[in-house]
Amino acid sequence: MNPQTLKYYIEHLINFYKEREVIVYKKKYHTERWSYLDLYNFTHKVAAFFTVKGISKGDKILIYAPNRPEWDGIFLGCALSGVIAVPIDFNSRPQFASNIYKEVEAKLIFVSIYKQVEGTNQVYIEDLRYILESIDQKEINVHIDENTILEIVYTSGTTSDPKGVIITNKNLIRNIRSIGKVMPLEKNSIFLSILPLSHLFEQVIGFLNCLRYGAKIVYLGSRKSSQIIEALKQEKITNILTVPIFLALLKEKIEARITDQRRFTTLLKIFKTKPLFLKKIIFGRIHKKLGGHLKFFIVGGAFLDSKIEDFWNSIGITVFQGYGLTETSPVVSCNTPRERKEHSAGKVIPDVKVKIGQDGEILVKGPNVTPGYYQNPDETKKHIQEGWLSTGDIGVIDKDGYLFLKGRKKDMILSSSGINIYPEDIEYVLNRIEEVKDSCVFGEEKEGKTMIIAAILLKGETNSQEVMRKANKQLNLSQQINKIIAWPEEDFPRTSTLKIKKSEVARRLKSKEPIFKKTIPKNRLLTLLSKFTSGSITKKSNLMTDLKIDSVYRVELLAQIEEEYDVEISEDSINQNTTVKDLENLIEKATKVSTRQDFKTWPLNIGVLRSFFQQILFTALRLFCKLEVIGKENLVNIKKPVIFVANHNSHLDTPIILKALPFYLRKKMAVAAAADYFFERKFWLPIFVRIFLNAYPFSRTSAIRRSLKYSGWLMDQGYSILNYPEGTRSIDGKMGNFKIGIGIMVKEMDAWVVPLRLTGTHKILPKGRSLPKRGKVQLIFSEPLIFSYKDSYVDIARRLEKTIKTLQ
Amino acid sequence: MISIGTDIVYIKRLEEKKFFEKIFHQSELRHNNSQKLAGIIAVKEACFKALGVSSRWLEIEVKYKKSGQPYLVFSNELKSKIEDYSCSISHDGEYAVAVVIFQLKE
Repeated sequence: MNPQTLKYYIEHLINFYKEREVIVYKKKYHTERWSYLDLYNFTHKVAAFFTVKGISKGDKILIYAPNRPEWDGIFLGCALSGVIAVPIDFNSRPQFASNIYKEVEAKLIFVSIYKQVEGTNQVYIEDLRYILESIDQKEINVHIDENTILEIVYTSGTTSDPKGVIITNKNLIRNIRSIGKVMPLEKNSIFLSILPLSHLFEQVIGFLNCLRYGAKIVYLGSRKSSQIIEALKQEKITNILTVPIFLALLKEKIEARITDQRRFTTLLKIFKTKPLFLKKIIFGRIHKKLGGHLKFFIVGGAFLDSKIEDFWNSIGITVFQGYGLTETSPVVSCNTPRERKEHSAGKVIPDVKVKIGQDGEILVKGPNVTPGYYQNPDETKKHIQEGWLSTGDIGVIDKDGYLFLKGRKKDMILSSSGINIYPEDIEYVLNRIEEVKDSCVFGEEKEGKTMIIAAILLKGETNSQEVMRKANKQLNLSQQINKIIAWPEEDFPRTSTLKIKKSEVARRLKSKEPIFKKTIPKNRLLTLLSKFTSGSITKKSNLMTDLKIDSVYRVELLAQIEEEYDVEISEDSINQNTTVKDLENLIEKATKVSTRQDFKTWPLNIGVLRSFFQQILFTALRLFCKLEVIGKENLVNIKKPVIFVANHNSHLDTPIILKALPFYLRKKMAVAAAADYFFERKFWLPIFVRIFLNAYPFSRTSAIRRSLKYSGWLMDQGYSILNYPEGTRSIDGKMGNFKIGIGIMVKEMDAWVVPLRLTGTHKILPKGRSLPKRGKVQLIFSEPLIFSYKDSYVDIARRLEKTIKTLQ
Repeated sequence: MISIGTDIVYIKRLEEKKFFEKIFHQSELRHNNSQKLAGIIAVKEACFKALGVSSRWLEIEVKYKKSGQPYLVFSNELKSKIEDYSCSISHDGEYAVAVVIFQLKE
């Protein structure tokens, strides 16, 4: 096997890292963990899947899905079989994916259920794992060499017509090897992935390169900042690959929470050059908030403001800036622990040559440079001459060999007097001004003269002319801003890596297109609501009749409120009479509840103590309860946490079920108990049920997401869960309806279910009675139910109700 | 007792919304296009109106027979109120409309 291939890389690696965790996928309610071996097997199955589908070397397939382990598996599967992967940014429109699909004559596209592409041969990435279950791994006898095309990457939307960059095995592997020579990763590195895998930066540095060192990658099911913060702590993240704007936003968030700004700024200055361990102590709280293990950021993709780089370096989280493009697979230069220069893009990596051409353009040559653009010889010829790639970026290399970026050639403004002006320099000055959030500078030809125009995002109510005056004071004669415009929308149009779409901004300002002018209301909720309606909004406005928010928009509104405030408001709490003020109150109430109900993770593992208490309880039970257990043999095959589902008649149900379980299952059991009944009334009750029964609060009334999340966490920790889907005790022993919640829980946890039926407890200690009577109890365990990925919440809840009703 | 409900949905509203998972089951989302999805919303809304309940989107699943005719699967709770039902969905241009009629249990 040719060592300059990804195939060799994969086969080679797996012998080192079989059982090590490679990917952690934090889904909505629970976490999936993949080992190197899991990924390896999945990859081989994907390759076999291609064979079954008649897709072979040279055929193209699209991957149009969010970051998740299956994405990695598909990509590697392509590498093994010579199938060409065409990754499409999931943030782009389905129409774009459809166009590319046609252009490359793809055979298949991997999509998500939530974003489909009509008129194509689709496979849902959510289903892939189950589809592959019925496919056997086969030997792959495809010849792959260094020149075999690995993928075609379409460049982002800052340019007009995206071009397909051909990346061969050699391009990628050589790039990884070059990086490895100067920046070896620590074995226990844990990366948080936030950039799309369709981007080479994330793909190579945040995924492929990590595999070499046995590092771990964490993917998030959602982009919510609360999820990011949680993941940082839970998974002990050490590195994050990101773009400059993310560092800027995070810096802003941190600074917003600092009470004594002056002291903080002083501390930053003093500790800038001090050793790391001191920085970690002084800025301990920040480190803790970021999980406590974050070591460094790897940054690329756009211009990084030196002020932001300094901030993070002072705090003790090093920023390693790098430079590269899709066409260079992707790294050209990077800062490393040994060779770092502030504000530079680092030294050129080994095996790559860089020279500065006329106009100061950066030219690159090396094994990592693409052979060209897909079916576009003209563009290829235009950009690559005699092996040298014209990057379109302007830069200089200083005497020590460090590369400094000046700006994009395209964005460069040629002043009327023939001087090159870099908009980045002007933006830099503008962004430093207090009131400016972000800026976008470009040039415009007017009557033979070049005008420098700046569009800015203002933080508050400021006079933009004042800003222009301040900026011009700091700029050279040639850089003077001629016209300044306050961008009326909340943000500039951006690409998925959050680069400002300059041409779009310029175009819209030029065409004097009516840009949606918004007077930004001071109230957060009103801002949110203004997205749904263009009319006036007051606190008294009725959601339905005044704002025309019907049931479908309501779902969207509640989803956005959830994201914005991190609270849950159930649909039931909104009706025809709800006004904006009512909504505000609901949000306030929900915020109070959620802070109260922040599940303190009790020492669940008070194992021995609990067993002791439970034995006492069981002995007491024996006094008035004659228990007959049937079907215990059905529990033998349980190797992973499961969900036990039972009918509910009495408070005695839980102790009896626990008693009937074998010890090895009982010690890892948690019981979902009604939050409002057990945890919000008498003070002693929560303690009692937590100790004796390992119960945890499960909300019956408000939305259940938090409860599901905690349930997921418990199952991740290895606990099985006992749940009563009726939601309450039945009075006469007849079973009530199983609520939909159990369907949601089972499907989201992807767990086996053990249905069980209890008869007789309603006679011993029924609802309403406090003293037990003597009696007989029968407990039947049914065999575990495994649901298919095709079963819906409704199917599951109904089938469970039926199963238990008919258990004899 | 019989009860009837209807609803009309403007199809263009449904392009690429993030909250789909709160309204549609995964099986429903597999039906590609906005037209079908609009029809699903319409028939669910029609049910909620006829049953006099709040919009419990995930408690109804819309499935299709081989003939293309839609049928509904209700959650345990909703089913306990229903003796029998019949539904119909239609689209024309920019709109999808649905009507449902229930025979409710006493």
